[in-house]
Amino acid sequence: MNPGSAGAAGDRDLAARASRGDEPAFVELVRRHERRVYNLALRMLGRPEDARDATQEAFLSCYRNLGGFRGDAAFSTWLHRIALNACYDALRRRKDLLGLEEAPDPPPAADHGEAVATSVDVRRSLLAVPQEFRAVLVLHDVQDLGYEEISEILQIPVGTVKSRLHRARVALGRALAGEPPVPPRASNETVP
Amino acid sequence: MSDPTDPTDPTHPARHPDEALAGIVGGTATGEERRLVEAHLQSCSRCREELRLARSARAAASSLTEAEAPGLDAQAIIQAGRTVVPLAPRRPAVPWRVVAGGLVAASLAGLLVFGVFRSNAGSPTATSAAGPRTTAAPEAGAPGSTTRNFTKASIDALADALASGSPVPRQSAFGGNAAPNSSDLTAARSCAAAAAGSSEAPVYATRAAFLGRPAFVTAFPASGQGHTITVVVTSTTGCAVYYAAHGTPAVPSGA
Repeated sequence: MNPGSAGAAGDRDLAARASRGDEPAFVELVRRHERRVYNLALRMLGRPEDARDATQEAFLSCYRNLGGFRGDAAFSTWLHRIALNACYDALRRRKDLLGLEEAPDPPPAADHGEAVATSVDVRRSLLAVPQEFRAVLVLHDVQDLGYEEISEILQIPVGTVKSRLHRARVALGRALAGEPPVPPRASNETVP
Repeated sequence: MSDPTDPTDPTHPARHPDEALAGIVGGTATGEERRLVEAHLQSCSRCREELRLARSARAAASSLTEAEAPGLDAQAIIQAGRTVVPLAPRRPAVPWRVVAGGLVAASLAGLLVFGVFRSNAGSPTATSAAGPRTTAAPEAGAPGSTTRNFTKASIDALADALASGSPVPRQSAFGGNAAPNSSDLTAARSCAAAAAGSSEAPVYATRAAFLGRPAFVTAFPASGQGHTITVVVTSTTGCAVYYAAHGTPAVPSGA
């Protein structure tokens, strides 16, 4: 979901055509981007079935809102924003459901293609990182997006992206080490 | 341009240089940032420890490999995007306590009520955004299953869609949403009709899942209080009502 300029221009053209009712254009957009959206959702939500649902919701929202995509940002940036919102919605509802069901969050199920022991630890530990920090870490360290693009997706300054990234890494590092979570300190906190 | 005299500036000597530390770990730090961090680390054990943690986290996160694409049915998404009416402002769904109260009469009439909207069996799956559940999330242990998995939001949306006369196929837009057989349906109708307080024939019935649990979804015409459809979600064993929602027609635009 981080195409070069040719891919970005192609996306814009496809999005414009899809917004005019060109179904094959939308199908192509889904084909191009579903893997990246799914992987973002998978790292944000943990469970493959939840990630699939959020991916589907994201593309449904994308389809319904194509008319609002003006092309001043890359389509992938716009889609990332929609996908993250779908993830936040899923996390919010999961929290509501947990309150309702009084059941603990089960550990994420294994998915494909990862060395089992390590990846399970990492994926589980990722879920211990507060979600707004986790989003930055997933976008940067897992999806290899740059600071500027993350800044556009999250609509926060680049400096905030960097400080959140560091706080997220520290939180993940603590979780991997089995240390209790520490509330992320304010980005402008000074040395005592 | 940095300003070391500004306490909010990352180069201020009394400030933990989180932004620069992110660059150090990611390999994007400038020479100035590297000098800043080196000087800071001389006197800050906390940042030294956090740098170690951040490096291990960066390595771990980078080791995650991409999962395969889920293979979404884009045509089905288009269909769902077209057929689902924009939702009217959300009204509260029927509180389960109201449903439970309504079921008192039903239980007195001989229906067995296992429980209402609460179950320890299984785990809840993800929920969908507003709009009928369009996913075909496979259930655990049933690879490839295409059972439609409803949530509260999607039941609410289904009620609205039915009340608005929108086409709602019994077959899920994502396929495989088989209708229940006649004996199951008879029991489900009795249970759901009691919960809905309706003596009308159902206008919609399907076997599906609700939050990952096998369920029947049945809709009845209703009357009064502005709503026209009541959708009831019941278990497939006995008469446990998981959820119920009223649907009202969408207000036409410009009305």
